[in-house]
Amino acid sequence: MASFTFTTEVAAGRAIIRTRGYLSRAAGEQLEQEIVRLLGGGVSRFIVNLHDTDLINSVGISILIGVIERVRGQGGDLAFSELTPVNEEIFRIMGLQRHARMLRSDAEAEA
Amino acid sequence: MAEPGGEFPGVLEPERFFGRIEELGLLRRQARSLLRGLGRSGVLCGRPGSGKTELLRQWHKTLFREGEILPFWYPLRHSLFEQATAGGDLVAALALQALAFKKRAPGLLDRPLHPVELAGALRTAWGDGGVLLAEALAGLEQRPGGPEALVRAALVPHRFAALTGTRVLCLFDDAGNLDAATGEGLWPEEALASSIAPLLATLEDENLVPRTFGQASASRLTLERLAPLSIEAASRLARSLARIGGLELGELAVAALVEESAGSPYYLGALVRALAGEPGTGTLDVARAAAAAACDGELARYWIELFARAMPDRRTRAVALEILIFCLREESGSLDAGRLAALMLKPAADIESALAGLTRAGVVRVGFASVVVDGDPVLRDVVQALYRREFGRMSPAAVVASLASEKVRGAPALRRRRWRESARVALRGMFCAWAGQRVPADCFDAAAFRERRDAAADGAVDEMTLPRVISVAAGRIGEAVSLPGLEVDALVWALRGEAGAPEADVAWVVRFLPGGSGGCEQLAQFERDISALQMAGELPATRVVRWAILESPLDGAGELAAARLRLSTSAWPQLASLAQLLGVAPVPPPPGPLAAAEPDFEIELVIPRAADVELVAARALEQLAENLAIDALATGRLKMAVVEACINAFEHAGAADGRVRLVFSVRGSRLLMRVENRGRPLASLPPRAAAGREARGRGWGLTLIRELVDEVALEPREDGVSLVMVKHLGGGEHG
Repeated sequence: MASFTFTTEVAAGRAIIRTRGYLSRAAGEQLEQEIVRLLGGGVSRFIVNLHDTDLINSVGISILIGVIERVRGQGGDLAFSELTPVNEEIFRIMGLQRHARMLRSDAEAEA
Repeated sequence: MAEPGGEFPGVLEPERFFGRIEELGLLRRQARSLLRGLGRSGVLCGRPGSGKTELLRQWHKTLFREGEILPFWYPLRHSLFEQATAGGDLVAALALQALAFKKRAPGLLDRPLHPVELAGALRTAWGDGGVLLAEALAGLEQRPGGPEALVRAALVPHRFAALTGTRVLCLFDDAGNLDAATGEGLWPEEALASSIAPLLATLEDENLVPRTFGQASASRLTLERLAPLSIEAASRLARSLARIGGLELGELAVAALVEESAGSPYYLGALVRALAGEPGTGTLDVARAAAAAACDGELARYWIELFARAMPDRRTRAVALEILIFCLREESGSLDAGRLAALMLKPAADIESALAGLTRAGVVRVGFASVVVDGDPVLRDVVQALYRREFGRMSPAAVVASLASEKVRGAPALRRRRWRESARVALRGMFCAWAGQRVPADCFDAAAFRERRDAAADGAVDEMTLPRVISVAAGRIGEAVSLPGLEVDALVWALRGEAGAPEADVAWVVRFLPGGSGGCEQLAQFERDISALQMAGELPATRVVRWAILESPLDGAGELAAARLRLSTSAWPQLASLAQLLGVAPVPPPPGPLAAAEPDFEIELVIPRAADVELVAARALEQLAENLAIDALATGRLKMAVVEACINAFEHAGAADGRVRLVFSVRGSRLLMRVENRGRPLASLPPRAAAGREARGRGWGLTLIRELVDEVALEPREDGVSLVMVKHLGGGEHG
């Protein structure tokens, strides 16, 4: 039904994953697999850029919470960037900002 | 190309004349007089759809081909939006057409030349006449716009004709688009009296002739009326044309075609061509009638074959059809490329392939930032049928789009668009009555007007003299200038003179602003847009009056902002007062928010259990929200709420097929979103989420919903449960 895609760019030990489309359960699981794969390859810092994802459901967010815990458990860091206002609101309601930074741009991660 | 005079063409070919024997005779007589140096200007009148434009267009092609008279074609509807450069545009059009005519190269008309190249080619082709055109063009480019430039430009065809000894026929289409001031500027008396470069203009109503050309000039014009074909003649023509195209039309189809064509042989020909399988013209009603007469199959077959040739890959064709559905939902037939991508939710590569295919098929044009569907209104009506025919089902996007657009006709956003169009017309009438009138200065200062009204003061009021209006344009000037997307409601050129000083031209730029809580930002945006136009050279750096017409009063901050930005502002009572002083029809007030008496409407959607199917519901709601003018942030929240409600409903659905029914409806000023499933009811709603509470696992759905909508309730039913969510449409939360 929905089309979800993402691209991954790895540089200097950090991965930027740019998503596109509806972030549902299936999409969340795809992201989880990708991040687990990267963790296994030695990448420990992640930015998930959600600029082109206008809709996320609570199941997808639940999976993201699990991913955050996994990354942090291995001493890594995961941040979200370029959220739409609604997605940012949902993330705050669900308390994600306590465990992951919300960035206005990917470049802000350097700050 | 057929010789003029034949009643019906031998083959279906758009360049040929269809009927109009008498009118053709008149045009021939005018041409013969012109060749003898006795040309006379005239007006071709006929109601919309009667074929004036097509007749003029065909006549242009005929004259161009014959090579004795230089036909100068200038469609005035475009010049409406570019008054700032109208003079230069007119001469540029003449220069290019003169060059193409001389070189017998119609292809030049579609290929803009660099000014230097054009000037050189004109000199070579036309000698002194070419020099005249090149110099006129350069002069107008250096001093563009304004009434003087327009008059100078209007005389160029006559000077060119006199200098070169060439007969020129000015074929100006849609003269009714111009007000009297602009009409007189374009056709000063000496121009209308020209016997070597007369004018043939089209106009919808002969009563508009004096208003359009000025009382004095109107007497110099001959008047020809273009009558529609009789029903009998049109029926005969439809059958003849259809037979030529290999079609046998039933009575129902003939009647539908004749009615749709309104007696215009050209439109009728185009409709028949469409039915015969050529890209032509048509409408929903005709498509339906044609379907009833078993012609639909022909039409669909044509399009399917066309798409198959341009896009052999089936997946690409599916994406292409969805693109068309989304674009054709828009009145303009065009869509911003970014928004299209957001709506489609398809990989960019798929969208690009489909756009390339559609471009090859000649169906769309892809601009820098937009996708435009070209031409064929039939496409609007057959595209979803095509999808069903080829893919055996409607696409989710098509379901959503068709449901939303069908069900919410008459919704506020649509009503507002219609109001805006009528308000622009009334505003134009007001401007036409401006010359020399004295009115209270606070007609253009909302704060001062409010203070005077609040104080009920009867004392002396500062007055101002309204300028003499030269031209009025209304609409999206951004389409004509270099900054697309800038919308103004009117652009007016006027002459303003201080006592004892010469008059100077001044531009009034008008925009209707919704006001309310967003007033300050809208004022600032207006100011930024005007500055951008000035920076781009589309408006002079000075001599621009920015007039914001406020649909609801500004608050104190808004009034301060308007004063700081030096904007003229008028709220509706001022506008009504101004209209009364001028003795013209008032500009209709804007439609209010949804009234209780507004007829309710609703969208019903039943979705099966499938991965991510809730997205269909979200997109349907998005379409509805757009029609209700709900802002993007609020729409995003509602979509999220509906997605969560669907997920919950599927989780609790007990029926074997697990289907969920959604009903979106408007009741008064409330948008209701009902999500129903069959299964066990939920016990109760959870409390609102505590701020910062951590999320783990599932169970957040209803909590989120409560945060995202204004009201939420669970309604148990015998066979399941309904979750009802409410969004209040009043106040500043939407629009």
